Amino acid sequence: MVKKNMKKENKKSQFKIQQMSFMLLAVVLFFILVALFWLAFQYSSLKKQATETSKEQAVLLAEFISGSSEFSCASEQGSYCVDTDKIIVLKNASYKELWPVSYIKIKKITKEKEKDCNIANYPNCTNFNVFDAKTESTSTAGSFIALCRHERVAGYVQNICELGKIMIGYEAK
Amino acid sequence: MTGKFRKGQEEMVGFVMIIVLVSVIALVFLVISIRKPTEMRTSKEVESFLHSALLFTSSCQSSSERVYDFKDLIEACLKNERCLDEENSCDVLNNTASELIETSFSVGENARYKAYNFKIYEENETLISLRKGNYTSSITGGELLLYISARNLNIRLELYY
Repeated sequence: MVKKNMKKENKKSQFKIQQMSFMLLAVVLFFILVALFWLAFQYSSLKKQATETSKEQAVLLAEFISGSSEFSCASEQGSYCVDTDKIIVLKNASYKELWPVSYIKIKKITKEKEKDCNIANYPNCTNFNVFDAKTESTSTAGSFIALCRHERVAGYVQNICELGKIMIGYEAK
Repeated sequence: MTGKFRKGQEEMVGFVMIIVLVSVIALVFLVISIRKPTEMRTSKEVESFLHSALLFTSSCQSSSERVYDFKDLIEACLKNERCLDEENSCDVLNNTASELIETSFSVGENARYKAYNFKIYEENETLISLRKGNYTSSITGGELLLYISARNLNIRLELYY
């Protein structure tokens, strides 16, 4: 009788242990799922940040180039002002020794139809292909700039500035 | 038999309590992470946009020999001036700002940026405020400080992505 009772108790305890282990497993699985969800969320925001950071570096390069004396306006606006009168004259000059870049393009930000600039159609155009080394580029850097020129309006010489973007093609290391 | 049932019920109650407790903890964490104040990440691109936009020549003329750039236009708006064609300088400022932002950044539901918020303000006064789209929790943008007509102005552009 005692043996029978012992056997019964043992079975009951085993069942209890089994129940407890299932419970623990369920709780652990639940926490793993929560952690996975959190990790996925963190990873996506980290990826976003990495893309933004590489873009920032590229923008700095574009700013550095647009701030050079070959491009910048005579005024004190620094790297945010590019003189298009200079660019149209200096177009196709060799910049290869100056900057190790694949290309330098400047684009006017406008709703007008895109048109390449040359001496004949300037300033009624949108794209300045300043320099093209005809080498392959793996990355493009862009920065906003003001495209300024001198123009005679109603008999007075005015400094006319439009919004543009300078794009630099370079090989990402 | 009744004792067994009661024990079973007690275990079920314990199990439910554990689930509820864990859910509450998870919910608290979720709420904290969602309500975390969204900070603007400074963007060089937006800063370059703001610097360049200040030089943009507007359609507002003060006289036949002077065309206002964006910075002059802010000053004219502060002084409540009118352009040569009798248009209100603040209206021109609003239109120019929204046109510049919308042609420079693609903003929309399916675009890279979901919304924008542009403000020119000083400590306790907002000169202009433009907003478009649905805000998200990720913000990138830039801010400039300007000293115009003996007033310290802030120009801020926030882009939600």
